[in-house]
Order: sequence, then C-alpha cells, then structure tokens
Amino acid sequence: MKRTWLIIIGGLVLAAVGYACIYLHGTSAQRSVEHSSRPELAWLQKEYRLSDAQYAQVMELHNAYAPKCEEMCRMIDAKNAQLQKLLAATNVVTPEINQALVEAAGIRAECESAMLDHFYKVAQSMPPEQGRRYLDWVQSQTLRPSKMMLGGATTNASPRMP
Amino acid sequence: MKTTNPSDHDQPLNEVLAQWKVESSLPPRFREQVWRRIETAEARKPEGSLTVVLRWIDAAFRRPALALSYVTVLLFVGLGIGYWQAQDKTAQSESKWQARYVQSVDPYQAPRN
Repeated sequence: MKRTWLIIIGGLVLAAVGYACIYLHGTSAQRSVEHSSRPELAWLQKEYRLSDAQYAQVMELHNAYAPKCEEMCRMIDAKNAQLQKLLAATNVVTPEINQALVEAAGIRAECESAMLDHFYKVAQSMPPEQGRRYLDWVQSQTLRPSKMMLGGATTNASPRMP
Repeated sequence: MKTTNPSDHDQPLNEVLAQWKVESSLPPRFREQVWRRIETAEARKPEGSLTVVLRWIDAAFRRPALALSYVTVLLFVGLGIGYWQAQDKTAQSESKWQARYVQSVDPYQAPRN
C-alpha cells in the first residue's frame, strides 16, 4: 500500500510541477510587461517587436505627445461643461448652442489631427510591416465612428419638454 | 383480566436453581480459545467499502503499465490546465494594456478624474 500512495502522490506532484512550469513560462512575457515602469508602452514594444532603439524613440514621441493630449482633454472637458450648461438652460437650439457645437467639432478635428500625426510618427519609428499593423490597429481603436462616439462629446443633459 | 406472575408457579424450580453449584472446572486454555473464536468471527465480517476500494487501487497500481498511465495522464492534465490558464491570463493582460495605451493617446477615451 505504501508504494501505491507513493505513485498517487507522485502523480499529483508531477501534475502540479507540469502546471507551474507551463503557466510560468507562458506568462513570463506578461509579467515582464507588468513589472515595467510604463506597461502600456512595454506592451507596444512586445506586440510590435521593437528594438530597444525603436522603443526609446516611441517612448520619446509618447512623452512629447502626452502634454498635448492632456491639454486636449482639458479643452474637451471645458467645452462639454459649457455645452451642458447651455443645454440645461433651454429647450431650443440657440445661437450659443450652435456656436458651442461648432467649437466642440473644431476641438474634435484638432484632437484627431494631433492623434493621427502622433500615430504616423510612431508608425514611422517601427519596422514597416509592424508600423502598418500598428496604424491599422490604433486607428480602428480611436478614429472609427463607433469609438469616436464614446468620447467627451456626450453629455448628461436630457431634453427639457415644455 | 387477571394476570399471574409466572415466577409464582416456578417456586420449586427457583429453589433447585438456587442450590445448583457448578463444580466442574473449565477446559484447558478456555480463555484463549474464546478469544480465538471471537477473532475468527470478526475476520468473517464483510469489509467496508473504503477498504474494498483501497484494496482494489492497491491491486491496480501493482501493474506497472497502469501506474505509468496514471502518472502520464496527470502530467498531461497539469500541462494542459497550465497552458490554458496561461493563454487566458495573457489574453486578459493584453486586452488591459491595449486599453491603457489607447486611453493614453486618445483624449476622448482618456479616463477622467
């Protein structure tokens, strides 16, 4: 019976060791991304197989773009707040609302232009094939109409009925 | 209904029994034989289901082919579950980092405080 217990427990231990080896090997790349200081950029390096030099260039571009992005966020939020205030005050489309909508559209165009410019620069710092793949993916995530509707142009204001 | 105590009718018998004394001695090794009979009777009792299963497993694992199959199957089960969970974890992480990257470049999807 002792030998039988040895086989039973040995089998279970072997299964646990096999599980741990495969799991740790399979998630090692993810763990290294997770432990990096900029996980989203480390993921970009891994996904698009960037060399260290290319990665450094992408990071530089990203760092240069970040303040512009934050500024655009502030502009969007300010315009949305203004629009919400105007919408809450009336139940007809006033010239002020029209003006705010035009300005919101202008900000959106400006944001999209800046985003595209950044995406092209990032793609150019990648190997050509990976750059194309990156552009396809990032544009599908940001500039598709369905994605563009998710942004700050939405308001909480509901139409006031007379 | 009138009831009668049966011991009332057995008064003579009771008296005889009270006077009865066993004078013959026990056969040799009587106690040992009694214990042996008890042990034999207990050995004849049916085994519990757990004992039967353990005995069956023990017998099965005496065959090397079966023992090897058991260990191999468990090893592959461990490897399979490890692979599947690693894939799942990788997919979840990738999805998270993709979303984080998009949020970091798209002001319309950036998280608002």
